Amino acid sequence: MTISTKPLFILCRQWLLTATARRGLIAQTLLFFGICLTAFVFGIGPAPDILAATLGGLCWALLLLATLVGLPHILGDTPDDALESPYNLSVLLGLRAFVTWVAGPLPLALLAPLVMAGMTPDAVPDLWPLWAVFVPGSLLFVLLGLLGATLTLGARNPTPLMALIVVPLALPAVIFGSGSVLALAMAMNWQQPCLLLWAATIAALVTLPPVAAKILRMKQEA
Amino acid sequence: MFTRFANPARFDQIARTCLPWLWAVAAMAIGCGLVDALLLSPPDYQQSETVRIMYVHVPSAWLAMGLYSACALSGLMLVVWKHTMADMLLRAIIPVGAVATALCLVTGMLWGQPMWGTWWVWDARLTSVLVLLFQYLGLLALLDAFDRPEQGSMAAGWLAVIGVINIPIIKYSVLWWATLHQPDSLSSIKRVADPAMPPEMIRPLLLMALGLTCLSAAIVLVRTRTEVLRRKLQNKSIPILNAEHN
Repeated sequence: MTISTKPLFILCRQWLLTATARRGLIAQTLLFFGICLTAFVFGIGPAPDILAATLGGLCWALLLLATLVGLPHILGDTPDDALESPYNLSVLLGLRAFVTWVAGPLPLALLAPLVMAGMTPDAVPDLWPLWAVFVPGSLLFVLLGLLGATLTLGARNPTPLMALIVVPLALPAVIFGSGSVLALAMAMNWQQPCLLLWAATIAALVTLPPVAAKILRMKQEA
Repeated sequence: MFTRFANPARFDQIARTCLPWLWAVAAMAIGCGLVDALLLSPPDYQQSETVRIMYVHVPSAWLAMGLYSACALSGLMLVVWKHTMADMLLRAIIPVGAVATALCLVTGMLWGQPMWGTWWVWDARLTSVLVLLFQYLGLLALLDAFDRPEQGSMAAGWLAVIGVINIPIIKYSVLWWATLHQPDSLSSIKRVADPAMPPEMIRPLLLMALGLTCLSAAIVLVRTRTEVLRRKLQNKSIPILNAEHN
């Protein structure tokens, strides 16, 4: 992040350009998803009945893993500058999370249901319920990633450590989401776990940026 | 109230008074409990002899959760008051809790193989304990990931506090999957007074729980005392110790 008194939306635009044009995070996230999905499909065998039963859960879990791709950049190049910025630190961190979400997880969340519909049309009766699961889920994963990034900031080897911390924290969300995806394929009540996922996302949106800001401040003092 | 005990010198004094008692109670309770559990108590009418694994499995499950609460409490005191005693306690508790969780999982698997016919099922109980183990290991990794140990303690303290909400969520989120694990036989005080199992089985269970609790408390106290002494030595800047730490 750069210290500046630029309007927030210009700052956001600048971050977004750095994440997409300079680092190519959207392409990296999508490619990571595609390559891993191929590996998994070869691993479990591409028989149509196996794919129909597993592809939804596979894509959902891969969304979490693909989110990890952008996390090393979630705090920007110089996180210390954010502490001296005139803007509220929680707001700045929330915006960093938003930019990271737009530059990778969000496009993937929009694309993954299309991939599922293309590969196993019988298991995907409708697209918008899948988007209703994947979009808030990806935002929740990014917000948990913000927490993991601030916790591991300054560690000797932060990136693998961040994955070790973020994935267990994200497991309840993974369970809610897969409950919804599996119920949808079996034409059962998918709304209940989906609403729980939305509730968790909104709670995380309200609480995690301030917590991350607090951790960042304490890190600086320690 | 806590700050009264948060003085390393006073802690050392209290720990030295408590430790012999804790070791003694632990040795006696585990000794009697093992004899009672392995020889005197009757086999279960359904589970036959394998029920004896429960006398280690159930107390270690209680301990795994109890020690995590202790971690979270120390973490909270660390991030709120930044007191160094909370830091040392956190460092002392985490490995003990991780071992209790691993013990719970391993004994559960040893019991599950003959009883359920499988080492592992993805049910709510087992999954939440597995995630608890991952959280303990994440805390361990975070503690020593920084060049400055106090940064590691701070990060682990925050993670311990945040991780607390994860455990019940995991447990309840998997509940709509068919649950294989039986409900608790001693789920509340009411059930203790009117339990679902005979007194010959409750007696060794409670003895083992008491013994293992005292044992973990003793290990935590010894580890904390060692940490207090280590830091004392370091502050006297003995060159060898400092060199080793860098």
